[in-house]
Amino acid sequence: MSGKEQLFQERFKRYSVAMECGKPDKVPVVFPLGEWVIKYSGITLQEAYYDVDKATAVIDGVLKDLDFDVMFGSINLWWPPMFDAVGCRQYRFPGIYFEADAGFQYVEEEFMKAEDYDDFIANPTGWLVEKYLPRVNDEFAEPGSYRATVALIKGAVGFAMHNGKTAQVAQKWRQEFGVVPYGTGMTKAPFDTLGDSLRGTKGILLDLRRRPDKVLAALEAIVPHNIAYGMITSAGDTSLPCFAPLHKGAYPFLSLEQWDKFYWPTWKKVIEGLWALGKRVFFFAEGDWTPYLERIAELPDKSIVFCIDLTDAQKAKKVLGGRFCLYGGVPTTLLTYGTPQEVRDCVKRAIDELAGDGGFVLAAGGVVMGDAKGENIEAMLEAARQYGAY
Amino acid sequence: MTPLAMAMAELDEKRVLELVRRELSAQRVPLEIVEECRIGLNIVGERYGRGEYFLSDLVMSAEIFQEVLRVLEPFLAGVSVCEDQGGKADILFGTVEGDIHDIGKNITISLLRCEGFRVYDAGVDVPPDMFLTLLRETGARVLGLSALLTSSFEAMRRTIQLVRMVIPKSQVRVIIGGLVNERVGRYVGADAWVREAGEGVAICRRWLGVKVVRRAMI
Repeated sequence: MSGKEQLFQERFKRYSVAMECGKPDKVPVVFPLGEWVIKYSGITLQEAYYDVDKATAVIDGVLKDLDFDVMFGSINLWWPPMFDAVGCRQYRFPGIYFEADAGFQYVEEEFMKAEDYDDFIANPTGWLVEKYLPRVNDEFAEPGSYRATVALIKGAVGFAMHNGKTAQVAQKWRQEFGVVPYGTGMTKAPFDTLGDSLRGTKGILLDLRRRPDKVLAALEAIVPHNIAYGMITSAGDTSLPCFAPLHKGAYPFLSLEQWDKFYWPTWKKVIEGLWALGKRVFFFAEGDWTPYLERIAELPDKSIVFCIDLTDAQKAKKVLGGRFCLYGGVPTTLLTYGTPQEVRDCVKRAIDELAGDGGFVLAAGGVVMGDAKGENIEAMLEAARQYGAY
Repeated sequence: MTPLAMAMAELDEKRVLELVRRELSAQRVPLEIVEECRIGLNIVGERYGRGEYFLSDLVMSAEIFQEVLRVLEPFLAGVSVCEDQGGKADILFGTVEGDIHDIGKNITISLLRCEGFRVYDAGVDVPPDMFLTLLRETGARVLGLSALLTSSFEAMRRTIQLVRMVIPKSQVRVIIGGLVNERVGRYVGADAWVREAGEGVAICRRWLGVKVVRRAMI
């Protein structure tokens, strides 16, 4: 076994033990990959988004000097050429719409109308293919036409190319730097699938009062798809958790009653469905989830890694600690606006308060911002090693 | 509290619209109907502030109010409550260049219009020179800049710098909203910063209210 492979195995074990709520040799620490890396590189964000090789070279340069266990995040999660090929209206990328050094943005529209509920519920996949895709992608405006067919082929090829590249890069980082990825695959809460991509924020929030039964039926219809999606995008892997970016379940989008009725039951079903297949969920709780911790504690032991962004960490420890791995401890804002000393102090405090009996991963609790300071990230990783030995 | 204000506070969409139509057929003055709805909306805002209402409720209240205005529109001709009137405005509001988020902006504009302010909605991704042009065209005395992305703070700063080069502080005050704080406010050179739509309305009321009083004294 090469030195790097041995390093990988050590780190993988450290992360796995923590996810099982055990106490590893030291607190696993996560390197947050993000657009901030590009800021120091001399290439534009446009180049980094479009040219995976260029972005990889930049990231290589950063990784070679750092000691950490797990890597979270991505520069090319949404590879623009694939979206450009189909004329996607949902994303705006730098260099075309924004200046070359701006981050991408998401355009939310009511792509699914209120009157589409019945058709969607009857056959979600059929509806997505026939109705939704032509609405969100300009090139699919006339399904079956020569233009739409070529666009479909180009988009699918782009998707496959990028997936292949991503797998290659992960393998390379494992071999060269012993890097462990934080997870495999992706899923969402049915409420976020419906609210983020289909009905839009305003659409779904109004539906809760205007057509609650349709919302509930649509959420139920999404459940098996989101379980399958998690397993398919993981290619069957169950050694690492499935990423689940959670949005509208954060306080204060919904009242407690609405959360109990609309958000939780189907999201719980997806988590339990994946767990029955041996797949843990990376419960990426962006924002504040403090009011719902007791509900989340209803899940089967160890079935999630709970990420603390703005959630009250002490309370999360009290309610979820011991039964679920906790992940976080460093606010993303501190990495942008703080000093290295403030970051070090924060890491020490987080380890003192949260790491005690194991089941803890030190990380930034959300997506690190594009303007995070490199020196603060380094301070976070160093302090984790300094204070993180059990 | 009147039944209409109460129905609005309770977010009872059907009842609000039913009462509005009933009042209209009873020859009630449309502006008085708007005022009752506004009282209801204030209660919605207060309940949100106390943690009794949630974002879903704020979105619903704005939607019901828009519907009320749609019903009243034919009767409100010439009254500056709903849409941008004759190109003149008290407040110019928009999301800065490079940012296309608009939910916070839209909620704030709805609340400001409820207060009777004439608000010109410049939309999203608005370049600094467009804000300047619109300030001149509308004669607005308050400029509201919205942004959700931290990367948009530079655009806020550029916008405010450009405005300040041309228009003195005494003529246009700038308020920023979104994911902002004291430090951001100072950095971009804003006169005020808020994170909640309700606070923004209170500040606009203070700024524009004071002006009205002064004008009356002269």
